[in-house]
Amino acid sequence: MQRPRGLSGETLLEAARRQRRRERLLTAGIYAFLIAASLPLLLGYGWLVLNSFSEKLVYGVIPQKWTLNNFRFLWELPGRYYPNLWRTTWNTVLLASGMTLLMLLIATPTAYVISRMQFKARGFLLPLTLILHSFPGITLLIALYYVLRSLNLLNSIAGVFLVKTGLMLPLGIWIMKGFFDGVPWDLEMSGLVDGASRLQTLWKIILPQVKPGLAALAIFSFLNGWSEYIFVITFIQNKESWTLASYVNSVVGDFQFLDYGLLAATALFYIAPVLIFFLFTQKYLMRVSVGGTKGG
Amino acid sequence: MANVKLRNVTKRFGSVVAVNNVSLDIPYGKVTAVLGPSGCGKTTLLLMLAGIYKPTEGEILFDQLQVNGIPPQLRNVGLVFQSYALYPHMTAFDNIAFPLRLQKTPKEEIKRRVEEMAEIVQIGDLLQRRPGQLSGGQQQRVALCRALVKNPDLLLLDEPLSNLDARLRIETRAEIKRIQQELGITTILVTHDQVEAVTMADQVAVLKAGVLQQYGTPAELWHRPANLFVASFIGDPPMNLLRAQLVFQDGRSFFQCGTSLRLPVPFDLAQELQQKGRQELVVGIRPEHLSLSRERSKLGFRGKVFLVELLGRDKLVDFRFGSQALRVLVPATLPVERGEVFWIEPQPGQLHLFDPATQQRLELEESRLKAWSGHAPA
Repeated sequence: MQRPRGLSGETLLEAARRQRRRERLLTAGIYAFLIAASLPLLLGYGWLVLNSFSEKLVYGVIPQKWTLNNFRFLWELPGRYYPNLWRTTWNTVLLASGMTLLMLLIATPTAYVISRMQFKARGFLLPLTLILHSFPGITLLIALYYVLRSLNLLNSIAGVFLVKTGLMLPLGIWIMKGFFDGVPWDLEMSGLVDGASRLQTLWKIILPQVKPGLAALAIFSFLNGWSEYIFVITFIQNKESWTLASYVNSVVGDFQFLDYGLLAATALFYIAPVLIFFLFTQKYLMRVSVGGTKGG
Repeated sequence: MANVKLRNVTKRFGSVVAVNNVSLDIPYGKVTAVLGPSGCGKTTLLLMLAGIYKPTEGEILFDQLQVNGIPPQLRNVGLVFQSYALYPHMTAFDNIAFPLRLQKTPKEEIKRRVEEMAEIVQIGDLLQRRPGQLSGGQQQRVALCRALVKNPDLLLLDEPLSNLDARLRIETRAEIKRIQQELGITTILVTHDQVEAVTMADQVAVLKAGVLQQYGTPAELWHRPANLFVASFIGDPPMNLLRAQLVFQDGRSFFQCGTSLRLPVPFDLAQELQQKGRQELVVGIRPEHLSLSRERSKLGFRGKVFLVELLGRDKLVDFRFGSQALRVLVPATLPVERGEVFWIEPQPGQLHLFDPATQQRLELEESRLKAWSGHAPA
């Protein structure tokens, strides 16, 4: 490196030191801001954890007397209004995985066709799916209620995941279309020339290239189904078909008294799988923004 | 092996005509190159042969059988893409075995044939690697191997050398030629590189804007280019093309090119041209068919050196006559300096004449052109 003219070694070192100090200060500033901004969220989760393991909180933050009593709902019914917890959990799993499966089954071939084939309504279909996605689902609540009732799907998990899938499909199709767009045409042509049919090419050559997309879509759908609230409490009154969302809701809405410890514990039970799941799968989710795969 | 014929094949994409009324007769067991600048429709032509695209008009015949509507998977054609298009999630072995597995070939036979073919293209030790772990040249060999393993009737190569570095390109060129001869497979090669076409192919079809310009052996294209496009496209450095006017003066005849370049023409040739009403012409002469001398020569003309480029074995000497450039190829050993004055003389019988309006070659009696140097102007 060329040393600036007219600067002795001493002053140069001094300048470098100053520069480093400035950078460190800037970094510290950035961290301070980020911490301040995320503090409310952290406090929320902190409150949840502390509350669920203590008998009560003084001034809302200082835990008193550690206990596992709040988790008694794991082995006994917390009240006579509550259905079996494990059945409820199973229902939630059913909703989330049913939705995931349906999303993959519908969004993948649809996205492939939209990405790869020319057909009449293509130009019209793409913006339409986006408009559908921006439609707030809650405005459809009443209409959907009638639809589900006439289909005899009220009070059933299947009814909810059909509705949920329908509303989320546009997003899923767009995600998958992005991934399919990233697969070079040459690969597909090569498959055909090598003697595969169009379907064989899709199955053996194209799908392996969009695996990260499939993973991302599956995770999104699962999380979305797991955390569904409004459709569950609207369409499912039958306690046999409750999901964890309805369960937590009923803890919050208990008309006798609000047990904060129990609320925190059930909420923790509800979000824990999601957090763990996210921890393991976030690297796939991150790829969605890239929207494609690289060969190799 | 197949004998491939194209009859009046046209391909349109909407209003764009990619390939326009092309007829070709591709000989059995030979290499045929489709040569043209990018966007001339050559890859479209190749994909029609592979069955990916269907011709809009005309027909494609494999051994008399019309294959227009036959999908690629039933054509038994091997295709090497410019990008190689190896399947990234499979090893080299699985890539090569892919066509055989689709044919439900027994496992042992797949193994045997893949290894056999891998031996021919010399990638036997790379079979367990994935495409990402292979160099460009190795990927290309795997792609070639995959195209060949099913014993195709027709091998199609799309710009097979364009992604390789210069040295590897020369090696691979020879290698592909060797493999092709060893297997005797009918091969169609698409390229924009005239050197590649001329060195590898037995027949070259020159394409421009979807229209076939000329179809012949490399020698034919070089010695008798059918039009100005082929003349300028084949040959490196390219042919000098001069717009000329036939001039008679003091009982002598010249091609007047621009204001300051005058090319002496034998009198009887000039007369023949005059009789045919050819006053305006394009004169083509290859840089290697001009020679330099320090002494005055009868059919030569004087020029001052504008630029000298050393090309290794040769030197390219650039003369300027007004705005008209003229390039002369001389041995690198000839001392030439910028600003020097030389007599430039065309070699006998090496002039090409074209009609500036139609751009087509003017066919003259060979003897006239041959006799070029024998006739001193009166």
